[in-house]
Amino acid sequence: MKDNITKSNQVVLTEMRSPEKVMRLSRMGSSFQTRLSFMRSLTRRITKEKWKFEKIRFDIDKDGYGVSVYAVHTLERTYSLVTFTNAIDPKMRTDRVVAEVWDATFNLFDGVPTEADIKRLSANTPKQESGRFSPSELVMGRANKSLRLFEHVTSSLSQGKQPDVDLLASVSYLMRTTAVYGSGKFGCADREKIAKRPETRGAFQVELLTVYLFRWFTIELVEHVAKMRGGRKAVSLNPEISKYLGIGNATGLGMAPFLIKHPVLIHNWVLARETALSRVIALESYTPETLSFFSKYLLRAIQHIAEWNVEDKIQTARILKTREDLKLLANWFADEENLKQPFLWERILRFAESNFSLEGQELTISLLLEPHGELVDDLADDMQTSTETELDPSMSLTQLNDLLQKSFSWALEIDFEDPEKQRRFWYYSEEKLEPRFGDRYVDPGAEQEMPLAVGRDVYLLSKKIKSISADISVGAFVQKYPEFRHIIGRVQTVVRFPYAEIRDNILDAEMRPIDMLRFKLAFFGASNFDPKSELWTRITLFQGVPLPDKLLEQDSEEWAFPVIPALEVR
Amino acid sequence: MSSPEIVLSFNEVMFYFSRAAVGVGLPYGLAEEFGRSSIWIAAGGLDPAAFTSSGLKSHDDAQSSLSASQTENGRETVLTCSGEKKLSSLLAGPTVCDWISAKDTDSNKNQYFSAKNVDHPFLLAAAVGSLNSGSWEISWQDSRGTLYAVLTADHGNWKTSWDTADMSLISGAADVTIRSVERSLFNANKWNVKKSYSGINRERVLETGVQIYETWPIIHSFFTRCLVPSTEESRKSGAGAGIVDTD
Repeated sequence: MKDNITKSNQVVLTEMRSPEKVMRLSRMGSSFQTRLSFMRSLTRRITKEKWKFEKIRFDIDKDGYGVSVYAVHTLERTYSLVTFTNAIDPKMRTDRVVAEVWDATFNLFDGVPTEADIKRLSANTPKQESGRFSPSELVMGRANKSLRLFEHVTSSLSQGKQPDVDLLASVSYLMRTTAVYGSGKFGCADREKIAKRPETRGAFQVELLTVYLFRWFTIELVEHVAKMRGGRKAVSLNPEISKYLGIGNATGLGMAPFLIKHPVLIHNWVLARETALSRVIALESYTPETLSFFSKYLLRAIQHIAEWNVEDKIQTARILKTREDLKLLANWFADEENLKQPFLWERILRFAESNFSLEGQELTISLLLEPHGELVDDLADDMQTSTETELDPSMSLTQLNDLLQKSFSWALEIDFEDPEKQRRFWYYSEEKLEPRFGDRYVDPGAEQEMPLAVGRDVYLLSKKIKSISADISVGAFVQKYPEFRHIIGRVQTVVRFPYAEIRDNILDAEMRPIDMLRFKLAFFGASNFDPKSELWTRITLFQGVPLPDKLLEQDSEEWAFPVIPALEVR
Repeated sequence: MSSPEIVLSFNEVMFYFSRAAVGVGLPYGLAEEFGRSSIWIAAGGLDPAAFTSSGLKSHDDAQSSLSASQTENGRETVLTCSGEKKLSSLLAGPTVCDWISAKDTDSNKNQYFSAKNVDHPFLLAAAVGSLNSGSWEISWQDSRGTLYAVLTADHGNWKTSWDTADMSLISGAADVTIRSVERSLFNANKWNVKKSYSGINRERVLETGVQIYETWPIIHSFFTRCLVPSTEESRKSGAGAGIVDTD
């Protein structure tokens, strides 16, 4: 039986979830990976195009320190991960931007580096922000070990044993990246250099390829150190454990401004996901295959959420509720009467919307997309498109005001005269340009605030327009009041992109930056969100993804909702 | 030639230069336009700091003003500084771009724009170039009577009426005229021997980076005004992650 798309795309578009619903911080902060997430599109491409992986150099000593080069040969080009590992003082180990040393530092090199390139990088990469890079480097990044897990795995393997899987599950990575920079940062290549290449045109593909290669390196590194320590007695990691181990990541405030600075890009991310959902719920019938696929992934998701444990109290409460939601979904799904009615997928969505927490709802959407790759995967192709905001000087103030009333009512309803509604501000610290989040009434630096306050600026613009009686053009207005040029260009541009704006006040005293981080990380494909405060989180990337040698053999879709491997060693 | 002080990506040019403009007091919207102009200069293979730092200094030293009035005078639109000071190119550039953007494509080609006593005429040309909106001639005459002109064309191509990148030759305030010209002018005899900058050059700069020489410290100094001094409290509570991390 073939799936039937009974509604035209036009109709489907009208049935998409509204921006008022989707672009609220509370829901954005409940996001999960979907099959449109950028890691998923990367691994699909690797499998489809049969990229070849090669370890070109591994000059690492018995303690795990040295230089290595891991390459991937795509259809047209080669990219190389150049990694430097060093001994560092544990007291200096911090995930913050202000760090000065790291266990590992790396670049993704465009091509295969020469000895001269490696010599140049060896003088710069370990210094990170204090070094300088060239357009031959596409990405720069660094990582720290999970000391506990790295030593445990090394010790176990060196003694001929597999590591304790429960301990693995509590951390889920050997190393965690603390920054992965691309797009022209610190002299690296601009995004424009690679934007037209088929293998790198997708959103964040070079950054995530770097992380995938680095994860491969961490597995080989721990096996190498174990072998040096244990000699012939040492064993390699069980492939199922290798697959289960991801790469950790510590993400802080630097990620949050990105969402404000790139409104059209964010619109395209959300539009793709919401279009995918609308396509799925428009299906009147299902196939045995999609039903079976959904059933399988529902069970996997239940286990995945059951294995998700964090210290954060708010997130723990959310996880407990999501577990209950999934039980309800499993019960609903087990009732055959529910499967006999048309539009099963839409009814699942409606059931979730009526009964589940926000996390439960967003997880259900991820599950709904999972069996429908043929129907939705093409949408991933347009998720990298963006455009700059552009001022239309010929528009009248009356027309501009109409736009504000129509598309920014969420901002105009906030009372910015209330000091609590703009207590927070975002700024760059002079200490390594670290992004920080200040209290306007306590901390210095509010006059250097980053221009991220869309809601407040719309409010002030509306107030100014009301004070002007003449219906002059925007061009004449910004000539007299250039301080509004930025927000007017934004307003005029984003009205065409309904998912572009976060429809909440990011200056509010109660605002939680962690919601913005989770939204972006979910689009990357992260799992195991582990908030450490309202300002930063740890996550895991590529957990459950086969290593390069196996990725080409297996179905690259088999890794959603990774679970602890069932092994005899347990 | 001496070694560059620093080699930047276009992304970094936008980051540092736009914030340098904020550092001298420009509103963010104008600062963004300044960043785009700086990238346009850089894409031509030129040092954007050498061409733009004087514009920022002029505003920072209060020699130029952002306050202007615009009048229509028949075919001519005139932009004049409201006070005694020179008209800042940081405002004049975006204002001319707005005039171009607002023009109907079928509007009278004979209309032109005059910006009076502009502190750094070339920055106005850079603003028009970065708009990438067809063929425009931006011309001015210096105090010695020498005529200068920049001709912009499609696909990021442009020409100058002078053969050197030496800024001292084209510095000084002047009245600037901006007029639409026929596309064919770019290849006409009048402009054939002039210095040409190709849009293709942008791809070369993507491979090499943007080389910035001795005026970089000026840009960086203005940029640092956007940064907030770190305190022990902001270090602990204002940023993500802990000071020491182990797991």
